[in-house]
Amino acid sequence: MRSSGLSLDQAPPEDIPFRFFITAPVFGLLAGSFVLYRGSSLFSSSWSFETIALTHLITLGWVIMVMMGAFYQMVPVLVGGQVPWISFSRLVHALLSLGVIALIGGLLQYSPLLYPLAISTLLLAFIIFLTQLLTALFSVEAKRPIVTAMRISLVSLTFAVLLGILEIGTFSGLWPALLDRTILKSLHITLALTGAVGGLIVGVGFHVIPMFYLSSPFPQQRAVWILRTGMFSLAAVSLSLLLSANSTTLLLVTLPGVLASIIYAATVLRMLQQRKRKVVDATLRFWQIGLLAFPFSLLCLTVSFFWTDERLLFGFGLLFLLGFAVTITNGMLYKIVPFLIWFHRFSSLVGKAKVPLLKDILPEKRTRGQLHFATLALFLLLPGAILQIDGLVRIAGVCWMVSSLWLGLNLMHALRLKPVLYEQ
Amino acid sequence: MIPDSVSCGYSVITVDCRDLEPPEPLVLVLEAIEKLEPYEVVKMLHRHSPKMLFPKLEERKMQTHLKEFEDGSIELWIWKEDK
Repeated sequence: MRSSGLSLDQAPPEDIPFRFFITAPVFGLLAGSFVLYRGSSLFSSSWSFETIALTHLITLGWVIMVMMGAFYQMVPVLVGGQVPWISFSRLVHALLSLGVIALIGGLLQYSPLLYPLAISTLLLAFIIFLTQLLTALFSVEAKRPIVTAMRISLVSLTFAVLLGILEIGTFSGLWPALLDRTILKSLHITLALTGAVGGLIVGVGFHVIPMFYLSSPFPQQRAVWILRTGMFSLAAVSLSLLLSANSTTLLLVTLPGVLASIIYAATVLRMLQQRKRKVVDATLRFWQIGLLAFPFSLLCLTVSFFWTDERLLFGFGLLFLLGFAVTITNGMLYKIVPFLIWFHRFSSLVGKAKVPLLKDILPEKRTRGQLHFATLALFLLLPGAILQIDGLVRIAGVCWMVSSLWLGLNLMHALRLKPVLYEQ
Repeated sequence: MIPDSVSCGYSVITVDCRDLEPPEPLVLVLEAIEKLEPYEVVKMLHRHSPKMLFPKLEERKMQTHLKEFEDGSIELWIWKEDK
């Protein structure tokens, strides 16, 4: 038994995470519209500029957008790290939003001036964000797995951003290619998706599953093993790609990471199955779908090392991004946003006035319908994209648009809730 | 056991939050604090350190003493500052 000092109030102002969270569905809506407009042609070549544009609408516009808001909120509160120059976070949000729009515009060849704008805004956004968060995270002790996972995520993101900026500069003609484009693309995808996105979601899962679903804690030793194995695979795959290693080497260094993802997903699914309160809500379903998609996406990636077929890469991309990252972040928004609204706006009234609980701030009937559309979009897009069924892809685009719009409206509904309104 | 920093003679109000989901632990503890009489102390039991509760306790000028256990669970003692 030990005593420890208490954490002071370091939580950021509520508008900081919320501005990132509410922007994600806007880019989701744009991504869905783009899928509806272009159909299955978006899934014919992973080198196509339109495909890259769609990918970055999802990765930067949705996933990184939510991740940044979550980092600003969670690092002070869950980890105890103090994020410096917190008011700059608003500038990061503006720069990231502008950078994504400029990048997409550049990729769709609206104007050559958009690439320099995308490079400058995105680079500045990430420099500020990474300086803030790396300072905060490396100033706390890494006693808990969540700290290690967040560090893996941020370090991977740093390399992924550098590679991404290199690539934009190369194909826009700003500077010559410094790396083979295939190697650069594979490294960028590996570090951004499995390292930055996977690292954060895995780490957050260690903490939020027991907290929000009243499950047993994630076994500490297993968490450490998963992170070490994942980190080994990530570093070894990156090095193998850089050295143009053969398929067998790539398979050997990828398999431990895939095994870690299977063990992670199986552990969390079991924790959810054995949770104390057997309530089934939309957020639980989002986690379950995401956890099933995670190892399958990595299996697709592994097989693609041997069987060079673009469909496997699309399978990986769709399962990882839509199935895992977007699905789980969507579910987490339904837990985090109501909790923050309650904390910032209603907790001071406890004991003095009637305060709502989370289910009053964002009722299940609002979130359940959106879950159905999000799931439908995923299950239509997967076969539609892989088998090139244009009609199916376009219907999936519509479902995705509805799902994103619905999520945005749900979040707006919660964000509009104020104590005075609740009392009325 | 009541920590040394809490004087003898206090009656203990135990708030067991180990099976509650957020924000119910915060609600129960803050409600208990609102009704706290002199010479009463709240003992909160929880699965983990309730970091978001601390600023709320600070706003209410409460004294606290936190004990963390190896499994991550905690005992948080809360009493009025001026007592």
